[in-house]
Amino acid sequence: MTTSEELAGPSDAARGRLLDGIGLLARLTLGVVLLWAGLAKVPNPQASVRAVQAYRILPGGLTGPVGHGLPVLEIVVGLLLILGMWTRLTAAVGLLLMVAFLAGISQAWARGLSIDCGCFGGGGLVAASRTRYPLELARDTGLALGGVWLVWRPRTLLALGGP
Amino acid sequence: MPTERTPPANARKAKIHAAGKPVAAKGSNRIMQLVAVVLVAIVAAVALVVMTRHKPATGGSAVPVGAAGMGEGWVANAGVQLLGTAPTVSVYEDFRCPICAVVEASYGPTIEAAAKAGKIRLVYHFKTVIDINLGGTSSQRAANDALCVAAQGGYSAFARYHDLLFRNQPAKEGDSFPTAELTGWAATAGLTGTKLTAATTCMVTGGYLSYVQSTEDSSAQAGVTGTPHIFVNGTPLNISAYVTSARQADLTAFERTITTGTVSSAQTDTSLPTIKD
Repeated sequence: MTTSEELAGPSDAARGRLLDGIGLLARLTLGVVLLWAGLAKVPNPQASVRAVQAYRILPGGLTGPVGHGLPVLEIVVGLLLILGMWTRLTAAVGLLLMVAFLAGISQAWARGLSIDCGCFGGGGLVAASRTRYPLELARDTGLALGGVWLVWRPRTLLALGGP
Repeated sequence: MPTERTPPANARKAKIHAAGKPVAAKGSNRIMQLVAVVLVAIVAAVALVVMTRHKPATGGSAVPVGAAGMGEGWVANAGVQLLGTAPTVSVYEDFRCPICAVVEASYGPTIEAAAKAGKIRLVYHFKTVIDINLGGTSSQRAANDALCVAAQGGYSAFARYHDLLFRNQPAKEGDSFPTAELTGWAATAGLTGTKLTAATTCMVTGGYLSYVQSTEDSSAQAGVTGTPHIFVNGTPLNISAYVTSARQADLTAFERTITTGTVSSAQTDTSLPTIKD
């Protein structure tokens, strides 16, 4: 950066770069976590269905499709975020997922269920002493904020963009 | 999205900007984007295929005598004359679950004696937790085969087969029961002649596989996702309440609970729902 540019005032370009960088960080964090969460559920789809059932929200007929569909959705959204394709749209979907997870975990906690969120495979009932609701809520809140950032400002560094 | 970048601040930068984004790059970027979309679609398809390959085993859809229907527990000692006050003892178990084998070794003989004497109405809910968490269908098969033995030899043959399964559980969690052993134990459990042949046929065709899957599903829907669990008249037992300070099973207290149906609050597992059997 040249001196003349600095003299011209705080550089909009530099500020833009910084915001793009923050966007990149949000994109990669949300993308990697979603991809990891989705992949972890693939080897044991029945466990994924059980984890969905453990929240005791969805009617019986929906737990199967959600238990099978959610990992695939997480993988697709995670990959697209990592690549930086259709960032606003994929971040919006990621944000919606996080809001749904936050609602699910909160209601489980409020209703006194003792479950593992099953976020990265596993899930289902656990001993009351083994629940980790605050940690799970904090993590998903952080990821949701990343999603909000990207919906608000989808431009990021190293994004492939949408065709 | 490179094309949306804010215009460069000065002419020198504009040149660099223009040089970095030649018109040709747009085309190659588009190709990369298309390649990426195809790759993402392939990964998603592979994930779907892998997931649909992990399915429970399918076979016949017979409901065992002693079960009211699909998804309902199976009354193991239906042929035994019950005492008027006999409580209903419901056992949720998976033949491949290591803790189930530990609980069975301690409390199984007490349950079996009470069931044979008609002091309890013994209801089994077969679960396939290990199949679900570690893969395979061996838990489902083992339960199917135990029901095949019960259909031919009644509760006493079932009880022996049940013992054989837990005593010969694969050493490593997640390993399967060898099929030859599952079949062979039918004879060890006392079946002979046509009854043995019928039980073996039932094992091969998997007559009760759908039923076992149905009890796994319905129990999970009811909130019983793990194993082992024992309920007395629908109240979930806290099994660890029967372990003495010397780390021994207090079988006297356990027998009193299951034969009287009286469960104290300390003996109740509050993390589980109550059930109806």
